[in-house]
Amino acid sequence: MRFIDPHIHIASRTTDDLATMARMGCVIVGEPAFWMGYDRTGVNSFHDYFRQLTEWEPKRCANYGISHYAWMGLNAKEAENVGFAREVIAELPAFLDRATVLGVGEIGLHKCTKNELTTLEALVDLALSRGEQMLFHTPHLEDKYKGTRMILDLLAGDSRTDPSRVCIDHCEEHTIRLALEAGHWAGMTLYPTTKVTPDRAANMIELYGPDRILVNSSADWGPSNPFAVPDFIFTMQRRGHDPELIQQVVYDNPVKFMQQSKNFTLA
Amino acid sequence: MNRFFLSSSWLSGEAEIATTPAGGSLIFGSDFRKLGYRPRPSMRRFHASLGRFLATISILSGAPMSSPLSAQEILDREFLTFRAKLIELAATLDRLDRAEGAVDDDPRCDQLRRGLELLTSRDGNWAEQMQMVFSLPFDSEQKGGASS
Repeated sequence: MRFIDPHIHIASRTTDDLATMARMGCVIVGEPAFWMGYDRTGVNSFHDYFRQLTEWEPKRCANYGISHYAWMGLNAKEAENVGFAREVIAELPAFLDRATVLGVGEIGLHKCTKNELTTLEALVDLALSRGEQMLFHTPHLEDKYKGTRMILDLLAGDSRTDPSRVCIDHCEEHTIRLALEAGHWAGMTLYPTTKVTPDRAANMIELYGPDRILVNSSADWGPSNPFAVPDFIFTMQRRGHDPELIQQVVYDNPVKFMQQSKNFTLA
Repeated sequence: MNRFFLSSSWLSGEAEIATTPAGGSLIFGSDFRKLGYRPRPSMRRFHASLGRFLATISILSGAPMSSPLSAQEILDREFLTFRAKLIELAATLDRLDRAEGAVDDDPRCDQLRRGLELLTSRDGNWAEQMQMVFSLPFDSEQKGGASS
C-alpha cells in the first residue's frame, strides 16, 4: 500500500532506509526542521540546515522516487534564548518562499517555559502573517498535556488561526481529543518507547474515527523507526480494517492536509 | 456508550454469561470452570488479583468506529501479550523489592501506585486516564513556567 510519512527527519536517515521505505510504498515525506541533538551555536548553522532540508534532502529522496517536502521553523529545545531565536526567525521568510516548503514547523513547546512561549508566539505570528500552514511539536511525557493546552490556547486566542491548516503533532490518548475538538489535525507519532505504538494509534482511530488524523514515524537520530507507518498499516490490516480506511489515514489524509499549502503538488 | 464487563464471578463460582446489548455474547464468569478450568489452591491468590483486574476490562461500543474484531477474538489474540505485560510488571516490582534502599517516598512511586489502582477501576477510558496520572496539571492562568 502506498503511504506518506508526513513527519520524518530524513536528514537522520541513510540511503538504505530511503530504499526500504520506497520498497514498502512510501511516495511522499514531510520533513520539519528539528533539533540536531545538540544546540547550534550560530545562525549560520540554522541557515545551512535549512538549505539541507530544501536542497539536498529532496535530491536524496528523489533518487528513490520519494517526493520530499519540508517545514521551516525553530524547535522548542532551541527557543529558550529569545534573542538568538529572533535571529533565526529572521532567516525563515526566505526559506518559506522555497518551492518545496509547506509551512512553519515543527514549532511548539518543550518544558513550557515563558521564554519558549515568547519564541513560539513570534513563530506563530510569522506563520499567520504570511498565511502559512503550521506543524506543532507537543512536549514529551509529563509536560505533554500542559504544553498541548498552552499551544491550543495560543492558537484559539488569535483570530487569524484557521484550525484546519494546523497539525498538532505527537498526540496521545490524553491530547488527541483536545486537538480534534479545536478543529485541528491530530498527528500521532509511532515511536518505540515514548509517544504511541501502532496498536495504540489504531485504538485511537477506532475511538475517534479516521478524519483529520495523521500518523507518522518522526524517525530521527534517536531510537525511532522509519518503517513505523508500514507497521501501523500492518496492525490495522491484522485488526481487519478495510483497505480504504487504512489508505485514508496513511495517504488520503496527508494529501488533504498538505494540499492546503500552495507548494504541494501530487506527481 | 455501552460497556461490556468481564466478570470476576468465576472466582466465586457463580455462573455468568453476559449478552451484550449489541447481541454478541461474552463467555466469562464461572464459565472458565464450565470449560474445565480448576485453579490450584496455591494459585488462587494470583487468580483473585487477576480476576479483579479482568473485572475492570470493558469493550467499548458505540464509538465512531468500533473494532472489526469481536471482544472474544481480541481476547483470544491478545491474552498472552496481556499476560506477559502483567508478569513483566510483577517481576519489576519484585526486582524493586529485592534491591537495596527504599523508594517509597519517591513521587514516581506514588504515580505508579495510582496507575496500578486505575487498572482496577471500572470507569473505562483507561489509556487517557493513565496518561493523566503521569501528566503535569494545566493552569489556564499560567502563561509558561520559569525559564532555566
